[in-house]
Amino acid sequence: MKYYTKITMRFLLLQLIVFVIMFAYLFFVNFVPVVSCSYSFLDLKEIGSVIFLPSFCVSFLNSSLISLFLYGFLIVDHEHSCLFSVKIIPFFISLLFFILFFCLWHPNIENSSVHYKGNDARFFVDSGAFFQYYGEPKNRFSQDDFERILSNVGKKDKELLLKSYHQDRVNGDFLLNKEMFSVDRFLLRKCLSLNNETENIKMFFGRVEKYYVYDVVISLPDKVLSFEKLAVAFNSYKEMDLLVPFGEEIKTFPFEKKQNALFSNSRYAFATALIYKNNEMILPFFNMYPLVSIGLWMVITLMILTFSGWIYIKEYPLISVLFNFLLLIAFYLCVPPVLEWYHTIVRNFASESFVKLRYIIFFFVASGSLFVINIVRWLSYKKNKKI
Amino acid sequence: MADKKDDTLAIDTYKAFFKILFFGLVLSFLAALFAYVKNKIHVDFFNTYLTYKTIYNFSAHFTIFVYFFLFCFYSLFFKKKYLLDYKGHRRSFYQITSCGFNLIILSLFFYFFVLEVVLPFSKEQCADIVTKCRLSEELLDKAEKLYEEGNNKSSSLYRQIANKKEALRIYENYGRLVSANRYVNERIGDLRTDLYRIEYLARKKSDIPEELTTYEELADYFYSKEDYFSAWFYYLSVEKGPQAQKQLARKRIEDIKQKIKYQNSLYTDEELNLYMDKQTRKIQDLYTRLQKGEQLLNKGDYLSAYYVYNDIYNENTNIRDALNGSTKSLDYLQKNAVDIEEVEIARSYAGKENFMMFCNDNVVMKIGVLRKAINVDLLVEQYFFFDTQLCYRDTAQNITKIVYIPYAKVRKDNLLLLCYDKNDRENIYSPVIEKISKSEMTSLLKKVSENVKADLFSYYELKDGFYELRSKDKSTIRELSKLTRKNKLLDNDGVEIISVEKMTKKLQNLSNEAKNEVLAFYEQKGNNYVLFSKDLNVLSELSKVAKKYNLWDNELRENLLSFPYDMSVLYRLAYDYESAEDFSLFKLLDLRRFYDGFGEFDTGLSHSFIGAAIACKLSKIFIFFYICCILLCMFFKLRVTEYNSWYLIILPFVLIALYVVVMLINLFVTTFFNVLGSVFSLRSVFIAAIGIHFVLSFLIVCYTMSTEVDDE
Repeated sequence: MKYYTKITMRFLLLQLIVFVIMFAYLFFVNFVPVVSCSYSFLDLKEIGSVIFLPSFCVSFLNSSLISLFLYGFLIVDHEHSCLFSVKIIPFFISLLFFILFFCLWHPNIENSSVHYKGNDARFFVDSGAFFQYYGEPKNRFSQDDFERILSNVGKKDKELLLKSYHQDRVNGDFLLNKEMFSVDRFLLRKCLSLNNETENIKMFFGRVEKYYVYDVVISLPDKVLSFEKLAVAFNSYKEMDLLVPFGEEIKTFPFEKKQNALFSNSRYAFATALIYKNNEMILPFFNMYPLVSIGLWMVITLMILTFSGWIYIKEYPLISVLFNFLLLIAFYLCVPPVLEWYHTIVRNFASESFVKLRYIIFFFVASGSLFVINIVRWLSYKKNKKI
Repeated sequence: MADKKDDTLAIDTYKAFFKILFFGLVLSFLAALFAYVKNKIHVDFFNTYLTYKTIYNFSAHFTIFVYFFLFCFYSLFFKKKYLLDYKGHRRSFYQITSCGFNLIILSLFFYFFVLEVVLPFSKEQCADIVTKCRLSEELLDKAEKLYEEGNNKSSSLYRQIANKKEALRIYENYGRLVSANRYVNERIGDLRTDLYRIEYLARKKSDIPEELTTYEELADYFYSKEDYFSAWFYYLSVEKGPQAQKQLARKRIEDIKQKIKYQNSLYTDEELNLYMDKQTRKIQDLYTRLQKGEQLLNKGDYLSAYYVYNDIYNENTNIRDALNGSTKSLDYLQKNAVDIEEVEIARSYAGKENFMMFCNDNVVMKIGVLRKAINVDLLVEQYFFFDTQLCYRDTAQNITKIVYIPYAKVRKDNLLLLCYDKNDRENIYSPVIEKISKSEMTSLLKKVSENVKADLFSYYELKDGFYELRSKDKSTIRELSKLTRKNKLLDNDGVEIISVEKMTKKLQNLSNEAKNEVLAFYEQKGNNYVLFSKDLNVLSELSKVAKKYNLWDNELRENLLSFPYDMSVLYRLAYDYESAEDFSLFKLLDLRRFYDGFGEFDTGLSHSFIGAAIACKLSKIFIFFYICCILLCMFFKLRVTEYNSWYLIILPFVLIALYVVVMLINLFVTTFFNVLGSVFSLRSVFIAAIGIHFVLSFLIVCYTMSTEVDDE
């Protein structure tokens, strides 16, 4: 019993540490730029809903998953690692946390992004610097043009372009997909802009406020414009539109969130993908009914506990650590697409009754198999001990 | 014997370190080899490209190799005998790892060197090679086309010659970029012989002996050579000059006249008189033109002087004054203006489009294309600006005036704006006004006469309260720039000539020392102060002083704009963080220093990410140290108790895991400092970085010190 109390306390401490680090980082990264822009912005309610809540959600759920992972080989020692009871404790603790999290305070997170929310120009643009504006991608490319661009770009951009455009069956032209991830939209714009397929535009903002930008310079290919103050608006794509008067008509220049620009840094592409997966990992829990979310949470935590304990060999601590680390990465990279595939396959090929029950079937199949694995392991452990 | 035993650990550590580094070098080489694209890189550059790419790969992943060494030595291949010293006592942790820590410190210094020098340099070289290869391909294509057109017999001879000349120039440029193959060399030979044959007859050569210096000697020389026309001119100069031998000169002129008469004895008297009159007038005209050239030269109008002298020289190659004058003025022009030939050569180099920056608070500069060309004679990089626009803004940030600069070149902290053609006096470009507000136009028109007003209006049309240039084609720009230069429309009064009254008004608020500093540049001529020299160095000195005391807000002068930026930095700096990261710390700080000279806005080149980049670069070195310490302790604690050869399978996984860890840490550091850098000033970011690293270093050192050798 003493041992169980010890590991429980250790698990709670571990989760707290991971949570504090993640939350501090996320909160800092999101909070500092907003406050620094203007001190009048310090509206506690807004900060709560815009920064605190999403940061809390992401860091809380991720810290639970990561601490469960670490628990398997960092806290539990080898002799107890096969015991079923050892795994049940953190499983129920995290489940309890998750249910409390949902019941007490059901966060209504939309599926586009868990980070920055709210409409404020400061989330979208920096001030005091000239920057390259990545113009809007064309809605339509003729087949020849599209093939020419494809031949000029690298492998990754090629994939992105093929993902973003679909071919019109009537005349063979390529049309822009309407539904796209915001990061993909940003990357597409950057890619097209670097290949000179959009206008070369540079901009400068002297100062940025919530709904206005001041001291603006816009350099278009044929002319330079300068304004003291311009207004911004926010559209349905969660983008910011800069409204620029051209004589009598008003032209809009859409902007992506700054956060997307960071993700497009090619040098850390893999690392950024991992972080982005961090968000993707969390999204499935918000897209469904609370009960389904809880079921999904149970399956995933059970999976983590099972696998992390599996690769634990006392004689080779180094290899255990290494492979657990790689497994964690693989887990973060693989779970969201696997879930996505499951949904698509079920939707396309299964019968209607199966679609209705798809969550329940998934839950029973996955948790059942994991349960069996654990039982078998436990039994073999017991048998070995007797011998 | 005892010493030998004691040394095994140290020797093994160093051996392992260098083995791993060698392994890293081989790995980098292999990566470079597999990344080599056959069609993209010219064969000539194969070795250089491979070398630089290997160096780049190795230095970019240097940290990972060091971590890998720590893993291999302290974890995987750690031998039990290392735990005991030669007396059989147990060693403490620091005794075992002291060599490892030595290596960490050494690699820390090396890493700093890599970040500062090796990485930026090798990356630049690789990019240069790729650019050169692409350029060479384009040049060859262009040259081939021109060669074919040049051999097209149906086009006019003039066209053929022009095409051949151009083709030759491009082939030669190609030869400079990549060592030309036999085929290209043959083409160059063909074209040269062709052109030489055509131009041979037109070529004139003057061969006056060097030792002749005075007019009398020259006159005597040409007299003895029976070139009576040149001799006549020189005797005339002797006669008009202050020399003592006027009598002899007059006599010799008479003699020459007689001899010319004798040479043309077939003429009738009347014809002869006419001919003599014509010759006399020609000589007089030559003399007055030379005088005019001298005047222009003294006045500082080198451009006009050059054409005057050049005309005289083309008519008569034996006039040494003309040659001297044209050389002198050309020398000045080469230093203070842009030759159109250079511009044409620069066109074939790769460049950056649409470059924006602030010149000062209210002037925005937009460079259409910024090209980096290499001067083959001097082996220096030169930067050319094409289609530059200077946008002047008022306090409400509305554009009041746009000045269009067709061609410009950077030289010694200045931008040379005047572009001349050695052979064509009409082909001159200088800044013109592209767009101007109505109120500015009225104040401008006050300066000029009625005729000029009418001329000016023919170039502009009124649109939304602005006068805009009707068309921007080359001939219009040429004509308008002539008009602008003639009437000094863009000149800021007071830089070259200023009345005493105005000057005293300007200087009234300054101290005596400052007054003397400014007036040192001028000499008083009548009612005006005149700049004592138009030399580039003098002008840049003056602009510094003017900036110091805030004398002229407008920096633009007839053919000069002060441009105090390090072009090698500016050219490579793009508008995002990604490229700033490859800069050396020194250059980043240098770039930051530029900004201090300006007011509220800096040059607009994204100062926020420069601060972040500086902090990141510093942090990378610290972080390298932390990770080394932590990994050393961790790997040592988790070391393999009994080595098995199948452990080798995990080596690639270790590399992948280390790579991911390094990337994640870099990403977090980048984000952290990007946020800090975009919010606080550079100094605050610096202090924050130093504070954080101080605390972290302390913790890491404590952790390292607390590590013990566990029982086995």
